[in-house]
Amino acid sequence: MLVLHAAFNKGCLHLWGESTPREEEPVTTKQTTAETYPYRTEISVLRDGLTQAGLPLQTNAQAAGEQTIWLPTQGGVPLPSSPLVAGPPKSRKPPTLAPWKLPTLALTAAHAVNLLAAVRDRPVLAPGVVVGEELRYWSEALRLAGALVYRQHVLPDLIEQQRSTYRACWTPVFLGEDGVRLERVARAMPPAARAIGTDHRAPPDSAPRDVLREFLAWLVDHMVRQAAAFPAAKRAGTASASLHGQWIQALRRSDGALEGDKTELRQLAKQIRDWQRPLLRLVNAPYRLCFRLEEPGFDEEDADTLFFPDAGTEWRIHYLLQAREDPSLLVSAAAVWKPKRGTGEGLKTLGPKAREGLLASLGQAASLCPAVETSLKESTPVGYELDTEGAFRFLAEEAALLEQNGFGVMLPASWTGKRRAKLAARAQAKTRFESKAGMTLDRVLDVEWEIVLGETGLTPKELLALAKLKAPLVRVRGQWVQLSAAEIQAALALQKQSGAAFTGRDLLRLALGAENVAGLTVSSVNADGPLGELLAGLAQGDTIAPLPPPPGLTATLRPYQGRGYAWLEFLTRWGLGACLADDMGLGKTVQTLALLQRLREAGEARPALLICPTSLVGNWRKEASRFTPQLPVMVHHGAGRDKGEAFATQAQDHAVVLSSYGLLHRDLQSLQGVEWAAMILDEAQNIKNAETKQAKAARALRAERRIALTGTPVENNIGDLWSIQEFLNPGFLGNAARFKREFFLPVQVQHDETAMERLQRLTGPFLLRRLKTDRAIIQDLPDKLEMKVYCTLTKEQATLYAAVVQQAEAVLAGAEGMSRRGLILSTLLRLKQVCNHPAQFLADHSPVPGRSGKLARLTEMLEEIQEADERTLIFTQFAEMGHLLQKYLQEQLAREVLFLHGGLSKTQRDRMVERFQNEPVGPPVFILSIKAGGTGLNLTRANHVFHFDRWWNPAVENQATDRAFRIGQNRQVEVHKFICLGTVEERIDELIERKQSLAEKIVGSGESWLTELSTDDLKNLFRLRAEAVED
Amino acid sequence: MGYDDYYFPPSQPRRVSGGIKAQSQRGAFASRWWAKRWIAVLESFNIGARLGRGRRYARQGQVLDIQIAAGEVKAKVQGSRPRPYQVSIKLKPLSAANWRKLTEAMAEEARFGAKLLAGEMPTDIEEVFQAEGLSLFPKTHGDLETTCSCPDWSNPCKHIAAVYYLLGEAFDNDPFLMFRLRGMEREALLAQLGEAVSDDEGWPPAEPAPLPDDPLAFWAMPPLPETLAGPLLAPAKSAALLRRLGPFPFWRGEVSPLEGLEPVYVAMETSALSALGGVSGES
Repeated sequence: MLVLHAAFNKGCLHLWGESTPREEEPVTTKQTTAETYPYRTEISVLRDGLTQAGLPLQTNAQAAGEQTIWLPTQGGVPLPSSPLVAGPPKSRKPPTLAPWKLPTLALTAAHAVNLLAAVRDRPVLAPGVVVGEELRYWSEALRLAGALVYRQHVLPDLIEQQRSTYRACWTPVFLGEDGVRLERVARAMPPAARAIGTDHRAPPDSAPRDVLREFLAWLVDHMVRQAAAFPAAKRAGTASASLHGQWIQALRRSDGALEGDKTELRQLAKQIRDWQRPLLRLVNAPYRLCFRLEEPGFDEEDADTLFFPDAGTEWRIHYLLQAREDPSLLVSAAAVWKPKRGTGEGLKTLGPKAREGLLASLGQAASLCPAVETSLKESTPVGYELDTEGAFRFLAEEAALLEQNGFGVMLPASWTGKRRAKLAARAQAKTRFESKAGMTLDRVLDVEWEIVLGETGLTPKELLALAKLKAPLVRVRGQWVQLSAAEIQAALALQKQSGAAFTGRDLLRLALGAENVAGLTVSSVNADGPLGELLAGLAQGDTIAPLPPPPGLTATLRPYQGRGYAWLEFLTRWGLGACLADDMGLGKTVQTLALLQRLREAGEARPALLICPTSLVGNWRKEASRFTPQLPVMVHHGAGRDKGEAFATQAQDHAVVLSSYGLLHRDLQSLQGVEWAAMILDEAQNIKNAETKQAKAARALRAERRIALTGTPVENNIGDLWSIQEFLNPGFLGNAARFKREFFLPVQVQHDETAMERLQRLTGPFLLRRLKTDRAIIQDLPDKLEMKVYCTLTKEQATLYAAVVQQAEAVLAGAEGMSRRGLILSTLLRLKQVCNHPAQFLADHSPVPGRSGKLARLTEMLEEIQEADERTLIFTQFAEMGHLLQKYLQEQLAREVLFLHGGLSKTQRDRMVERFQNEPVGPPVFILSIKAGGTGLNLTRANHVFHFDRWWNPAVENQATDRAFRIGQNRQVEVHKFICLGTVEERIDELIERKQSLAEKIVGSGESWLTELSTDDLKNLFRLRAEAVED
Repeated sequence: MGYDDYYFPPSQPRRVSGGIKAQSQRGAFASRWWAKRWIAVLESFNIGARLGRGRRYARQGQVLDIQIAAGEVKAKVQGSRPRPYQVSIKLKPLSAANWRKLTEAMAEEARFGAKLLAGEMPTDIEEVFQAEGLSLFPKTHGDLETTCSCPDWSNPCKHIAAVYYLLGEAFDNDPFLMFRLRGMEREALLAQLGEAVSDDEGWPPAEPAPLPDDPLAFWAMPPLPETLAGPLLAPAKSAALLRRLGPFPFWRGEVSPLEGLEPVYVAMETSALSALGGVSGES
């Protein structure tokens, strides 16, 4: 395990690592001195870690040699940042800070930008390579640096460095809000981010704000120099004769060093300071000037008046000073001019120069806003009055201008509120003629437009009156509404144009707010006939009218599953793609199978294509045979699969064709040769990156109905959303570039709420996500949900499995009595090991990733569980497997994983249980040996229980499950039983299911009943069936 | 060509590099009214073609140095001779008593202090001076005493004119220079207007923050603010901050800071996006 850390000091980001010490070198007090950091990570290991993460440092980022880092230390042992690195030291002494010497990589700004951008939202860079909190912090701070550069809030500067050398550089200017942001972001800095010092005797104590400022200045300087290197910004530069000219040139060069006479350089630096002083003084003041616009009060009598006369209405601007550190602290200008009792505290926070600052700010604002200038005729101005015209100018122009220049603007709530009334168009669509062609979105409808102001419809006469009024602000039902002449003209034009023709698809896009019509927002679309039903249905989501389940479905749908099934049917019937994103365990599979069964029963003869990860192919096959036994399922997988014509013929004989994402791309041509009734992508996050081959292949395939299934909340990462939506509803979100411009940038980078709302409105109707925590859902869920998880074997596992069976068969024939019994049990044991993991079977400490179907599935499921912030118990009967899982999962999930086994003392076990149950951010995964942890313990904080391998004794398994499913558990418990398809695991499971009563008797005693089986039965039991193996 | 030129044909000055260069390379030297007022006095002298040559000198960077003190401006100008000429422009400083009366009058309206602090000359500043029978700006050439070490008999000569133009440009950016010339320093003026002033444009120094020794506090990140970076909005006009600073006083470079750096400002958006990762600036 390698945890990456980063600390900033003296214009350089130091990357260092914390590695789990090798086991043969236990951390003891004796060994640790400042020279021998126990979690020491050599530079080469750091580099390897970064390379593994796909982030190799292209050039030679210098090893900075040994740096002194101050770390909390207890009894002479440094405390690790995470239990993933090492356990806490045993010392009881209170922790103190102590210096440790360790190697660091000194990143250049260019490296830092690349690295920080790459680690964002990636807690685990590669298996076993984890991003430490401070590294994550710096990567977040990069966003602020980028935004400052984007906003061009930088100024050129000249700073004196050591030994009176000078450097031309770019410094960020923290204008207005940015000053507040700087303070806030500084407050979130983990102390570890500034733990590198130059002094060996005392720990560093620079304030977070200063460290952050220096860090931002460092990155900003780099980004601006990058900008200067763009071809568009390049200038042919001849050496300048004057120092001024050389300064400009140095600002455009990559290094910025400025040579020259020291006295002249010092003078230039002073000149630059003098030049920038008026601006910087305002920017750096601990407060800023705010303008608060106050609406005129109004009489209740006028509440229903549509047009309120605008003349003589008095609005007011108030001047206030706002403290940067505490934006809620506002002091009125009046209090600054003449401090009264009671305002003293607030003024004190603003500092001694508040009056001067207020005055200077007003002076600057006066050049942006003439009314401010006029107000300055008084000796102690506190604000000014405006008429409606002036208020409009302020709202439309001056407010933005003032904000851009760093002043604060506070508008009445009715202006900033989301429900602000505005001029909009309302569509009334009529079906042209009744046709039997059925419901299709390509049908053309006649549309009448109605113009509305808020909720009020406007007649043409009223609209004309409004146009004549030429008032930019009118009061409608007590609320001020801003109108532009262009809007009114657009409205007038639209009103004339009646009976325009639109397709259903166009109208749907208008209704969901994808487009404006002639420059006007569309507030709603009303339609008659089928389109009306569609629009109403879309608005309902899963409250849509229920649909009787298909008779051929052997499962009973829970109420919410019935609704989900009806929703899928409704959307896809309209040719609209649907994304079912229910939480894991809510039964996406059965809802989908119900739909496929229904299609078949309605006479659909074409097959449906279902694509899922390889690890899930077996599961789907199994579930289909269980819930929809009448549907012929074909698995398109493995080396001997059909292609081209043969495949098409085969496929047409089946209702469902199952295949994997890998083949979706590789066999695209064959897949395109079939006309599909439906195409379903399970774990659709597999196509979240639109540029991948599988995503492109998914979009290239045509199918009448398209469904995406996923348990990860895709709506949280909108970058991923486009690809899935483009598969479901091509063109609906615009092309990738437009999506990036209209949604990705505003939402992901700017956190623009309006864009987010628009996106939700657009995609919401095609997305159904229900959470287990929803009251409405949990009602119809049982307290305990048992699921079998069918896994496939990897090729390696299959080969090993076959070898074990072959060997067993050879010796079984001749064996008798006790030796036969022993042989059977040991074969069973070995087969179970193979099913678990080849490394467990071979016991050779070989690498773990990519060799076990079970492990792959487990990891996928745990990742999903972790996203939901839920906790898990994993039972295994093999201590080796437990260790292997613990190490592997810690590296994959970057979270601590506990393992309770027979080799631990009672105290150790109690401590683990205590930590799992009570530690606030405790370990989310707890592995238990079924023998040591299957009884007695109370682990109700977990609501997922995995049986990674099977004991074949329901009583024992249930008892283990009851560690979580017992009094104190207030959530639904999900039990996942892992079974390898086509292997002895599946066979025994079937046997037990078939003879449940018998099982109680015979199986109750463990596995010894197996030894009573005949050799032929045994052969049959052990034999590997073809479908067990993944591609 | 005027009469003077007949006797004193224009001589070619020695070209110098690194002199103070006017940033307005064409048109008027001053954009704001108070600087224009200053220039107007010079142009009322009626010194013919010397004005034009003075402008050229100012733009070519023939002026090597300018020092402004109470009551006097001293400058060095490179002419055709090897040794630069010494130029002096004197303006009568006002007495302390006069200043006291003036500042009392100015303190009555906030805008005087506000405008000056913001780098602007209050529009009706002259009225305040007139009320006391005084003047901030020189009204006639009689108010000025100019000398130059060049052989031209005309006063002002082109060297004086060059210095005068550059002063106009400097006043444009810093109204306090005019006050200094009249014997009132910026700090003293603001103090008399009732405003405490300091040159400290930095932030108040942050208190030292010792690292915690508790491991949880040491390693953990407190919650980040929700809107961490703010909107990605480029200013309507590029290099807005640089523009807000106005011209650099007594600039000597070949191109002005705005001209030289604006292309960099324009490219910042793209650079920032590419640094933020995964987002190209083109789309």
